[in-house]
Amino acid sequence: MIDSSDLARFLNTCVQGPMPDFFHPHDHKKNRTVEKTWDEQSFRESFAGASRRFGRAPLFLSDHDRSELNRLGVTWTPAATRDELGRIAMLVAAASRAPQALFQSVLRRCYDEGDTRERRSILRALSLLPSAERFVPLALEACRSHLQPLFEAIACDNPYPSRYFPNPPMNHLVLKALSLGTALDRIIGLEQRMTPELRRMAADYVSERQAAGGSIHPDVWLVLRD
Amino acid sequence: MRYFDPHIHMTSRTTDDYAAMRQAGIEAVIEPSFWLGQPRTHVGTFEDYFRSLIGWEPFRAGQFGIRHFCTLSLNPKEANNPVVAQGVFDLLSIYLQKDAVVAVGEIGYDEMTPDEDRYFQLQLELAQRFDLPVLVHTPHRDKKRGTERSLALIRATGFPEARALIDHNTEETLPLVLDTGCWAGHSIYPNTKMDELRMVALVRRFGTERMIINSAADWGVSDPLKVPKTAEAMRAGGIREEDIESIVWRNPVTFFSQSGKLDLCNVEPAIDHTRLWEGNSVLRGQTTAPIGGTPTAEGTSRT
Repeated sequence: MIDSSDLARFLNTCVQGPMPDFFHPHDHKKNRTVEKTWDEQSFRESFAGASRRFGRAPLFLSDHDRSELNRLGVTWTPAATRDELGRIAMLVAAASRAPQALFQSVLRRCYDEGDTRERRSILRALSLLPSAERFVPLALEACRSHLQPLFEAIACDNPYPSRYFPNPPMNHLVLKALSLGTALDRIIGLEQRMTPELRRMAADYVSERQAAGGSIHPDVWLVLRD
Repeated sequence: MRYFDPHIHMTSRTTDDYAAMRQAGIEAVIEPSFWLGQPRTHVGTFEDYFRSLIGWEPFRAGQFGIRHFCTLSLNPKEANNPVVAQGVFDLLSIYLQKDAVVAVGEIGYDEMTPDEDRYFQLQLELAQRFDLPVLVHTPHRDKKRGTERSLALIRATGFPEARALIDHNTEETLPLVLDTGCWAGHSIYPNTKMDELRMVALVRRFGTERMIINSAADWGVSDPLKVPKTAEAMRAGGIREEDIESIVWRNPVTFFSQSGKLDLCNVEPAIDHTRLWEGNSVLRGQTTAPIGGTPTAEGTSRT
């Protein structure tokens, strides 16, 4: 179970850019936690503007950062770019402080009105949020997307599907990865989600591609082997 | 030479167009939000359209190596629809703050009704508030009067003229626009708007300063390659390469960079580095059309 406050504190240190002030967990002047009223409009605007605030440069985590993340329960690479990490930090902080029902509706709103970078960061944050299973419908929606960066944000380097998806959408995720040429070793927890039905679907994929004379994803044998 | 088409409605164009555009050297486009050909009846329809302009369409363009930005607004025609007008206007505050939105537009007049006037002014004020330039549509009927009124309104509201691009100019309206500090756009569009040869004549007469061209290609009979074709006509007409480059690249970049959001440093498609190595996108399980006509090996690469 990932502690949102601890994680929020750590992510704030990773993020190299000014964070919106209502997410700082402590008021250093008064040495107490400042209670701020939740301002949804400001959050949505800050979330939208985060790429400009944090920049879009690739994120390189130090060994120290990685071991600290591991210690906090985050054993995968949470973000690819600085703005992605910044947005994830905003979401984790908000989840630790805002009323849960309100947080859930704001997250959904930010997703719906978000551009691709915003949506990616939300999908990568899901596993870090409390009661993460409540976001399954949103994650399933991302899996249906034709926007490849969205599919990859949930399917690749993200423990969320293997932890929370029922079998049918998990199987479809793997099949879609095969169709898109995504390396299957990027699907965290795939080994724990092998089922006879998935093997059946993979075998049918192979025969379909063979019949069409098309190329076959080399990783399909990971699914088909006994 | 690289080209920028700063007014093209890609939502209504096919991937054949994207491929041809890439082949012709178009590297960046701006898609203004506009009317779809028949009236929308729900505010939500606009919202989903805005979302597609910041999400799906830039991705689609990216598959062909083209950077895609947009402008958003309540367009002049639909400002007349009381069912949607205020609701759409109210959406703009959040969507104008998205990274891909580089101006408020298309705004302006269609028939110069009081409702159009009101929302034209409100959106000029909104653009001021969000520090964005504006893209102004000039009417296709009573155009000279519409242009005069547009310029007068910009002046009356105190909107900075250097941040206003008055579009769809003709021989009659261009001098009016250039007499102000506004920029002048020209839509090279078959039959109903400007054509290449007339454009060459205008450039010869008025020079390149604050001059911009576009195709305004949409769901009608129109040509998404009009910018490179007009450049070719300018070449044939003896206009210098650097002047052509001003019109088809530097000018639109300069104007829309006033938004602070025209990120052209990476003109390769907006693919983030974590997915580059998986090769080109395969949208439905089949390989995409090769970019720029270069054949690719069958299947995806996994280097």
